[in-house]
Amino acid sequence: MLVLNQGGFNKGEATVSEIRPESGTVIADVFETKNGRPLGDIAQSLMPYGDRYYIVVNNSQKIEVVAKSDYRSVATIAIPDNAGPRYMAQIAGGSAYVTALFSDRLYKVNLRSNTVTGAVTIGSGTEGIAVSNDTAFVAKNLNADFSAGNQIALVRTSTDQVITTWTTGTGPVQVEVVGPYVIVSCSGTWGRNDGEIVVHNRTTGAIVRRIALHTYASTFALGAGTTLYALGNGIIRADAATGATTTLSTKTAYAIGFDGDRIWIADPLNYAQAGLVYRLSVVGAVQDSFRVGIIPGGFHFDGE
Amino acid sequence: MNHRTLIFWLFGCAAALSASAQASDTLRLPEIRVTDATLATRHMQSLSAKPADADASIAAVLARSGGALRRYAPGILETAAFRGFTASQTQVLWNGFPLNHAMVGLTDLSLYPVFLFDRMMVDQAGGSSDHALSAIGGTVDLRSDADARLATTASLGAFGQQGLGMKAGLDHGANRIRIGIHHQQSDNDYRYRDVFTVPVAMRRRTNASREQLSAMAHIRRVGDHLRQDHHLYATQRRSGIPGPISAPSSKATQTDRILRVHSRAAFRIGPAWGTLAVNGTSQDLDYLDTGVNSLSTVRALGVRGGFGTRDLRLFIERSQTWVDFSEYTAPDRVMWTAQGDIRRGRVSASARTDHDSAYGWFWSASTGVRLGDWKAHVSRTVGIPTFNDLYWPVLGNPDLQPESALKAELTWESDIAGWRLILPSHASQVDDGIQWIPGIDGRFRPRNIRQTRTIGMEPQLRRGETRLYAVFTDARHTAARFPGDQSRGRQVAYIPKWTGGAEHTVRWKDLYLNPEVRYTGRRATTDDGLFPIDPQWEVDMTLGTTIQHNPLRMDASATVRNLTDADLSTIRWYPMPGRHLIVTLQIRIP
Repeated sequence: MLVLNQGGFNKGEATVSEIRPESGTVIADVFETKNGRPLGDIAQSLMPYGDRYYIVVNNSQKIEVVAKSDYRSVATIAIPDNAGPRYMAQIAGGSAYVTALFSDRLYKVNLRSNTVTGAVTIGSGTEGIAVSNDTAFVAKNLNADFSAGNQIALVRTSTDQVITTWTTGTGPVQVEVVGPYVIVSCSGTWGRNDGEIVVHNRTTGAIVRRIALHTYASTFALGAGTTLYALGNGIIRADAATGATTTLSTKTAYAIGFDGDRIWIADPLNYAQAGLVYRLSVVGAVQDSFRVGIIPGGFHFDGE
Repeated sequence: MNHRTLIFWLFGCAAALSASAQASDTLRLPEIRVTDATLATRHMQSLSAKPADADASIAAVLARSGGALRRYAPGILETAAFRGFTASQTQVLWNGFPLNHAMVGLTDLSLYPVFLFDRMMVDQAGGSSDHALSAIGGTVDLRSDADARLATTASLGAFGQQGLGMKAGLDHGANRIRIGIHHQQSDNDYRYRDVFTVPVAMRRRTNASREQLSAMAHIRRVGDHLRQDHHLYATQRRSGIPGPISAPSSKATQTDRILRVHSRAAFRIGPAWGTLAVNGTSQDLDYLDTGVNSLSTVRALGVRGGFGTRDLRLFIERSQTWVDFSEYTAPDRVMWTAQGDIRRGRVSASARTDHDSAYGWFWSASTGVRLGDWKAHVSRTVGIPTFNDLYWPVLGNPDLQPESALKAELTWESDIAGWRLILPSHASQVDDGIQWIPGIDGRFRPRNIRQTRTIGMEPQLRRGETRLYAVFTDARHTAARFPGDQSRGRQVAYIPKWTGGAEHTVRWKDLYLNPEVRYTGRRATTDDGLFPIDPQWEVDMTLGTTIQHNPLRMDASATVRNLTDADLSTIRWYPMPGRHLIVTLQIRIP
């Protein structure tokens, strides 16, 4: 499994750690080790595609393409406009969309030529993205005046056009499509601790239910079925279908993942030194921990 | 060279030539030395600039002090700190008055060109009661009191460096007027290795240009019973903010405007004297980037009245600081200070108490003794939180307490076989140090959680124009700041354990050759020891000539900086220039 370590803002400390849980070993900074150069500034997200990983390096305005087998660099895709790329999602035709927090556009990347081939005007800065069939659900996180957005844009991938928008919670961050639902985590408003998970009807966009997280900013991992593991005021297991929640642990974390069997959480400590990731059972008991890079902020599990 | 700078330079040259007809025939030796004051009970370095430094900032001179210098680009945001302390714990003074920015707590050294300051005193052992509040890590005191009647400087160098300056002084009886003006600019588009590209490419730094115009004035009137000194310093600078090479910034700019005035009157009262001083500051900082327009204004006014004899000094001071920032509005800060110093024989002692409108009373004190070749000094020193620490929206922490430090220094100085050996050693402990550290939401907030302990030695050897020095600094975190903190017991980030250097001047007739080597040891960029910057050797070589034609003295020099073209940086991902040339011409009438 891989851990994306964001590193400090403007410090060029982004790294990728490979964890081999069976042996308890951590291979630090696999990118620089293999390629002899640093990854960049803020490793934001990772998308697997074929035999490659696409690593979005937010503040370096680029996507590093590496081989899955040995992390050898295959290509570097520059994202224009100082857009601040955030997340990728594959669409049909060997392409992918790239969200961008500081641009009103969604960028389109050809995954074969590894070039930016176009853009879709969304009208605000975007964060999370999920694709289902020929529709991309895009979180409109940041308005042009830097206020928090509260919409989801639906983009027809075949035509690269916005077909509609849904209203969701304040500050939508992560979007996932699960069965009949589109699930959106929203950070809420700073100081109000009103982050939430908003569950939409996938067909109509109607809000089916809201799950309060009682904190600012949030992220979640998908479990089996409609089960979610979310970071709220602790680690929370929620059911998107019923809205039922259980607090598994009061431990706070920066990122969360689920490998199909166990929960992983990231503790960045003070955000300025090597952070820790913990492996937890599905009931929230800590099983072991691994020291990784600075600000661990994302997980990728083999088989994803 | 644009029209303004050309006219300025021509004016300076003309003034120099006309003044030469009436100047005295006393000539000064070239100011190419770093000496150590033998004053007081502390080790103090008195740093003088080389002619080749004239158009640089004072950071270029402080680089020879062995302190921890941090520079984002030549002439852009440069700070210095010593003995394991931080830049915000190091107070920069101007003729004794604090310059540190009230909002951010530190002084950007690049705002102060060498040419307008005649010398600087670095006092690493001194503290609050020796100088000023918040001088926990010592002080750099800029002095502009030399007696040159006229001096001009001009320089041209790589990546668009240009500097022009003129100082003129007029003495009439017991009165003196000195004025100075200095202009400097640089494109700073030097080449660097971009290690983030495949293959590694040589690129040019962008958005690092700067232009700065500075002026100073000093009026002195000396009578039988009254002496007055009036100082003024003003500067305006516009610079790009280039960002790290891992994430270059293409649009960010900053404009700084500073106006400082300082007047002091000293009058005799029988065998004693009294003083009355007024100090005013206006400082604007305007930062612009995409979606960001951050403007701050700081205004400060201080009045100090004192009384003293040969062995005793007492003063009381009231200062008030107003900060207006686009991000927050803060209440005025009013500070009352009372201090007493006494010196009897070989012993000196100071005690100080301050009353801050936010914190109430706190105190500091120091004492020292001098016995033969030995000097010893101990102090308790304090620093108060900055406006940003207290009032930054949402993140500021109004519960912060002043940070404090205990410091001790022992120095032995002696002459051995024609060499001057200076051996300072020191120890210090900081408690309740303020550090911005993230909470569970990832947002940085200031807290009183930094505990550090430092020991070190700074041996120096000097003989004529030869100097060798080494600085050993063992500065460690002594307490975990949060659960899981890996920094406990480790060296503080960006503090090298070893620095050092050597310089020597060889003279032949009117020519001189001045090689200089500086070493900065390995240092981590995070407190848990990650991402170290490798050791660096920096070599400068100056070839110059000094021509004296009474009363005129002309110094022309060519300096190759970073002669070995080493990869240099003081902050990770902020590269400094490779090998480059700068040519300087100075004309001076003492």
